[in-house]
Amino acid sequence: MRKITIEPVTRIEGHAKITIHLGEDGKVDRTQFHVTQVRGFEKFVEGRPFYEMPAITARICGICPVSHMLASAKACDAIMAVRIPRAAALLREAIHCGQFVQSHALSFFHLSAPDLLLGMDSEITRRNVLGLAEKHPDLARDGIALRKFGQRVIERLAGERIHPPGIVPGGVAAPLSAPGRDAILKELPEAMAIARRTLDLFKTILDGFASEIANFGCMPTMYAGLVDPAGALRLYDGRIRFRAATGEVAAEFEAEDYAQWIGESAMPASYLKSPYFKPLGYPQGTYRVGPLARLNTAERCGTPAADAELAEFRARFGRVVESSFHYHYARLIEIVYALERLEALLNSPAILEEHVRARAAVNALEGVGVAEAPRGILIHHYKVDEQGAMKWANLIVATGHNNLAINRSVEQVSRYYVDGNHLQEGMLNRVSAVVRAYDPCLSCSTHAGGLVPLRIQLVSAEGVVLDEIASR
Amino acid sequence: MKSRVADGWLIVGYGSRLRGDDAVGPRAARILSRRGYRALAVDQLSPELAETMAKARAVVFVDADVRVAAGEVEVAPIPAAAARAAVLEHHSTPEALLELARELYGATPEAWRVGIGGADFGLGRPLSAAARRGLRRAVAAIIALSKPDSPPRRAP
Repeated sequence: MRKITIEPVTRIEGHAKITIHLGEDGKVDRTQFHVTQVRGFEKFVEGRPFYEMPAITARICGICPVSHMLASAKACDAIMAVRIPRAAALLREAIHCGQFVQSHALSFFHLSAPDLLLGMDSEITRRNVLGLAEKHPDLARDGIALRKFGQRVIERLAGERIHPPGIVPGGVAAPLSAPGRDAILKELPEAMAIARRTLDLFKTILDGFASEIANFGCMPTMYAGLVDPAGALRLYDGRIRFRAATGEVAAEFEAEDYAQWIGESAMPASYLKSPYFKPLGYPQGTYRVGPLARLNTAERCGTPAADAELAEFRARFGRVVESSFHYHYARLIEIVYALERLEALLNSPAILEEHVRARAAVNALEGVGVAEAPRGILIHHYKVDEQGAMKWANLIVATGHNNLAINRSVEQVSRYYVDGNHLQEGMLNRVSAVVRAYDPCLSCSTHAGGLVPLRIQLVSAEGVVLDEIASR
Repeated sequence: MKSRVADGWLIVGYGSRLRGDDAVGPRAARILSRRGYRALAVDQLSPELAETMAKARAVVFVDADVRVAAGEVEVAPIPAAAARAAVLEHHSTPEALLELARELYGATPEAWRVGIGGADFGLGRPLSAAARRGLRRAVAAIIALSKPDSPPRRAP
C-alpha cells in the first residue's frame, strides 16, 4: 500500500490535508480529507456571559464573522426571549447580504478563478490571483471591486469590515442613516453589473469542464438549506429544509429542533465533525449545504434576476443538480440574489427606524440561532445558568455539514484522475479543487507564504517515503 | 475634503489586535491617522488593498517583525524586483500587493517596510514595554521618511 499526502490543501480558509492511499497497482484504494486544526471555541466559552458570545464567536473566522455573529445573536435573542425590532431584522439581513457578496467574491475570484480561467493544469507558480491579473486583468479588477463593495456594506451597516461590533443580542448597535443607505444604493448598480457579467463569462467556459462536472462530487446526496414558508431561498432566517436526491422534500423543521434531525459523528484523524441526516443514519445520511444545496433545496430565489438565472441553471442541469463543480455557478447566482435582496431591504422605509435593539435579561436557559453562512447552514446552540453564564455550547458550522460529502468528492476525483504510477501536479490540483468548490472555511487562519506549498509523498506500506513531488 | 499631511502617502499597519505585540502595526496606523496621515489598520493584507495602494505615491507597510530585536525598528525599501517575484493567495505580502497594483492599475508607488521588534505575542496580551518603545520609534521614522525633503528612495 502506498500513500499520497496533499498538505496543506491550498486556497481554502484554514488548514487541511488529504491522504490518498494507493493499491499495489498504483490505483486509488481509499482517501480522506482531514482537518488538522482544532479551535476549541465550544469549550472555552464556558463561563462567559452569554451576551459576549457574538463578539467571541466572530473570532472563529475572518472571512465570515458576520454569519457567526448573526447565528450567535439569534441564540442570544432566544435566551432573552425577545422579538427584535423590525429595523434590526432588516439591518441584520442587509449586513448578511454584504457578507455573502464579499465572501462569495473571495471564493470565486481569488481562490477558484485561477483554476477555472487559467486551467487546472496551468503553471502552478502563476495559478493564483497574480496569474489571473496578468491574463484576465478585467476580471481580477472586477473581483476586487465586488469584494470591496461587500466589505463596505458591512462597514457602513455594522461598523467594521471584519469582526464588526454592530450585531448585538437583541438587534443591532445603531440605526442606519438615510445618507448611509443612499451611499450603498449608489454603488449597487456597478456591483450588480460585475456580478452579471461574471456570471455570463462563467457560462461560456462551462463546456470546457465536462470531465470535472462529471467527476467533481457528482453523486446523489441530500441537500439542506433555509427556506421561507413558501419554500423560497432565505439567508438570514427560515426553516431548515432537507431535500432528497430524488427531489422530494424529506424534512422541514424549526432551527431549535435540529438535534432531532441532524446527528453528529466524527472521523478518525480529523477535527471536523461529520453531521448526518438522522433518519438515514451514518454515513448514509450524507447531505450537502451551501450555494448548490440551497438552490437545490429552495423552490425559487424570490428575486427576479436570480430567479431567471436559476431557471436557466435548472434548464441546463436539472431540478436537482448533483455535481459539486456547480457550487461555483450557484455561488455566482447567489451573488445576484444577495445584491437584489440588499436593494429591496435598503428601499424598505422601516430600515431607517430608530428603534433597533430589544433589551432583556435571561428569560430562557437555552437558545438556538441559525443562519445561512456563505458556505451553508450555521447553527449556534447555547445553554446558560440563571445569571446568563454559558454552561454549554454546540456549534455546527457549514463545512462540518459538508464533511462527508467533501470526503466522498475527494474519493471520486481521486479515483478518476489520480494515477499513482504517473503522478502529475495537475491530478492533485483537481483533488484540491473539488475541496475548493465547497469553499470550506476551516478557520480564519492564514496560509503559508511563498510558493504554493504543495507536497506529495509516496509512502510504502512500511512507512518509507518512496517518492516526493514538492512545488519547489 | 480634510487636508492630510504627507499627501500621497499611505500607511498600512497590519497584524492581529488580539495577539499582544502583533497589534503594533495597526496601532501605528491609528496613531498616524490621528496625526492626519492616510492610514489603514487591518488584520491582514488582502488583495483589495492593491486598489487603494494604486492611488498612493508611496506606501509604508508597518508590521511586527520577529527578526528585529524587541523594541528596535527596521526601515527598508521594498525593491521593485522583489515585487515581481511575489505570490499571492488570500493572505498576501507587501510584495504581492505591489505586483497586483502594478499589474491591474499600472501603479508603481514607492514602498517601504517598517518592522517593529516585539517581545510578547500571547493571546489577549497588551503591548509590551519594548513594543511601545518600538512603536514610538516607528512613528517617528515614518514621519521623517514622509517629509518632503527626505531623500528618495526607491531601491533598485
